[in-house]
Amino acid sequence: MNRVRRLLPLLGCVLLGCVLLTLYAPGGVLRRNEPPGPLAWSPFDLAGSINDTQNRLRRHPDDAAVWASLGDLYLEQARRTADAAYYAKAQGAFERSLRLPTGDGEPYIDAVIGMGALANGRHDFAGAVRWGERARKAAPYRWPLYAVLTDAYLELGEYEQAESALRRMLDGRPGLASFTRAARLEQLRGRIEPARKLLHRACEIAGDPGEYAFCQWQLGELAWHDGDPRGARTAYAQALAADPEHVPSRAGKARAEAALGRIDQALRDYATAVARSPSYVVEYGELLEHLGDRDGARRQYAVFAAHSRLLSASGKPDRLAAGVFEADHGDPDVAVRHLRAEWQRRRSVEVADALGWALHRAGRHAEAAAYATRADQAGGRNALFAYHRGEIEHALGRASAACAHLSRALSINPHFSPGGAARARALLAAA
Amino acid sequence: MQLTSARSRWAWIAAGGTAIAVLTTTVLLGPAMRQGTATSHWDAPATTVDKQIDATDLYAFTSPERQDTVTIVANYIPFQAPHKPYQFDTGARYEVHIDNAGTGRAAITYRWTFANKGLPVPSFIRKREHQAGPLDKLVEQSYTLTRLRDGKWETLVHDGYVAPTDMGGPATPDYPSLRRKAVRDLPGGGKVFTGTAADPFYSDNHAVSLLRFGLPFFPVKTGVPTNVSALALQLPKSELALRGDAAANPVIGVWTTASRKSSGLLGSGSDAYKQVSRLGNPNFNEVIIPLKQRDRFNGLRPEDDESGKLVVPSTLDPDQARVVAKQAKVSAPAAPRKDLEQIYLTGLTTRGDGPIRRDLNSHLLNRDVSRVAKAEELRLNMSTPVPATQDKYGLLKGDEQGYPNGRRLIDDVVTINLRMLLGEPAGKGAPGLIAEDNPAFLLKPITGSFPYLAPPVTAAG
Repeated sequence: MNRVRRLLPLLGCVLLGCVLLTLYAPGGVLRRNEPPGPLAWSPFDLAGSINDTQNRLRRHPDDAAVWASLGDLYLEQARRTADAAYYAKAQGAFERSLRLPTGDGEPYIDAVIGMGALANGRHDFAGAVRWGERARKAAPYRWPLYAVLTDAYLELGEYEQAESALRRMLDGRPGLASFTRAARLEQLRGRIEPARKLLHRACEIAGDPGEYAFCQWQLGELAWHDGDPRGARTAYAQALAADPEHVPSRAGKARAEAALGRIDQALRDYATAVARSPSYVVEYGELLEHLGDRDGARRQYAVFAAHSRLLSASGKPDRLAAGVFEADHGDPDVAVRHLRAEWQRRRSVEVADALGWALHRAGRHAEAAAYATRADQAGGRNALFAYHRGEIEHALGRASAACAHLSRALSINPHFSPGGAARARALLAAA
Repeated sequence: MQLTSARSRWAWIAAGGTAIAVLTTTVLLGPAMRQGTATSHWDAPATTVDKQIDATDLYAFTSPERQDTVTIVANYIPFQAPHKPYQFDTGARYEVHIDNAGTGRAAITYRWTFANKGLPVPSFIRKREHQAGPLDKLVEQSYTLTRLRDGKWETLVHDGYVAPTDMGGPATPDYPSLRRKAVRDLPGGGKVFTGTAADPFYSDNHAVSLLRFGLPFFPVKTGVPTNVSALALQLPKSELALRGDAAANPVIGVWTTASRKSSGLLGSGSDAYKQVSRLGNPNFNEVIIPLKQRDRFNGLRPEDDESGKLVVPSTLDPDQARVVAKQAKVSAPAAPRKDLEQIYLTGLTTRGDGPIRRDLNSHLLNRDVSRVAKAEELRLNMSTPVPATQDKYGLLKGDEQGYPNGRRLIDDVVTINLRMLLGEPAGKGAPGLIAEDNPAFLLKPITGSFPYLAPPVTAAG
């Protein structure tokens, strides 16, 4: 009797399993003529959509459109998880789609656009332009291609081209994808208020928590660069409320907490952020270093170096990130090499600033000044750019210009970097 | 339950140990650092789901219990999960257009605009929802309904009540009364309903996979137990008919559009409203218009269909007919498809040169119309009597009040469109392709009076 009683729960489980199996197994009672997938299925749920798309492809493996959809879903997955493995999957799906026949005998247009978006993700911005322009020729009314072109031209530093692509998109399809990009251009031109309005509008029309988090994060970045850590923290927190996994917002919040003097919270947020993505180890390390924890900082820098080697070994070095790191924490000559190579590929304000700073750190101040000026003039209201320019002017012995740029940096955002802001203040005090 | 023997105690300990080991491994490996991508570039979503301005379905039919009126329903924001609030875009205009002269121009336009009112939902629910999605979505909205006729705008409803989704007791107590509150009388004898309802769309699995083969996601299979946001009107036929005379001029064309306010860039460029969504006949854009032009169709107006080089040629020779025919292993009629031109662009009449010899829903049947422009609209002959028994295959089964003469909530439009693409009713077509004893049906029964739509789906059903 006792044994039977002990087995009862197990028996119950087995019985329940059998019942469920009868009802829901392929060909089971409840499955007949029912849509596949659970009732909670929604096309706006990324993982569910990927699953659904794969199922469909098992049944229709020669459907070019569905392969392209799958590629897009993988790309979005890559974007959200920062997991490069999805890039390879996306590429496989797009290439499969491109090989399949379509109604008009030309490659499936969304796969062409997808290849462009993929190239952007992999920092092949010139390649993205080629795919995007090819798509524009074939289907000038397919709006997502303009997002690809805008992003690529922005990174290449071809701001006029980016603007005209984006204008086309705003005319045809005002929406989250065009508003967020418009906000970025406005910000690059130092027009903070229009940028903020556009992002608020984008927040209102976000389709899912992931998109909403992205828009709030952008609002946070805007507030942060505008010297408003409190506003930035609020926006980052909103983003995290919608999507707790949004790493850029976690790192942003850490930055804002540090600026507001809440160091413990800042360190906790940074630890969470770097556990998910190594992209933030350098700024985490810089905060630790500023707080006097040299060992902790060194450990983070070591992670960066290891990660950097990993990317190089896999043939996808991030020369901008590596150059910025080497300039401040490594060998400035190596930094200059990285950034000169990057400058050959793209001439954006970020690369100009980084190259200028690396040249300065390598002692080539006169050469540095040209790049720093370019970045500072074209890069909107950017405290870091202004600070770098101030330092370079200081090194060149132009005291008044240095003072002007340094105090401008502090007036734009007094918290732009823990070490940099302190140094700017010290230089100004000494002047 | 007491553990009675040492043996079983050991078994428990062993099992517990294993569980802890597995758990620990999971915890340790779970958040392990991924091989992150290079992120030193700006990384925004390229394609987004823009459901707020996504017109999903349009219906137009004679109201069964008020036969001097026509009910028009335009549904937006598809796939709303039960118990979650969704909002219209306050930066957009949602419109229903009526062409009663066959010109492709709107003789009457009804325009909804929305405003956010506040946060009525109790804080504990907000907190729970906060975890799941955008907090800002939890606002109550009001709307303004205006009518454009003869060049004049007239406000029909000011500060209208939008029926929320049914979120259960604390947030939406006494839901039936909320729904009643959202039905309002209009000056002139009409009614309006605005708000969440169960999505009435349904279709046959087989028909969907055939018709949509080679089309991008998302293939909607049969009914999906989700909600939509509906814009519904019930209007006197005399208000809609040309010269106010529904007996002499019974045919109208209907379509819905959404336009979103754009933004100037860097202080220049246009910040006007841009039409981003257009819907008349179901499936028309996705099936007839080639993919590369689909976004363009969403920005076009029917009055430009005839002169533009997109709508007419695509209808006369749709690529998708060949794709579907091959997939279904049947043959489709040869181009030019004058039958499809009649169905989608001019309406059916014996007075034209189309192969469907039937006087049904062409504007040419209106006494005061002598020429009809080719324009994609959902055409309804308001004088067709409501039959005692309705058939979900509409015209294809001789039920003249069903699609493509307007569209009722019960019509299985995917199957009808598939069969028309393959040649019915002009020729023999492939009528047996979809089994007619199939189980495709409305998920929730429609109601007997305006707005006919079933109340929103909740977690309980």
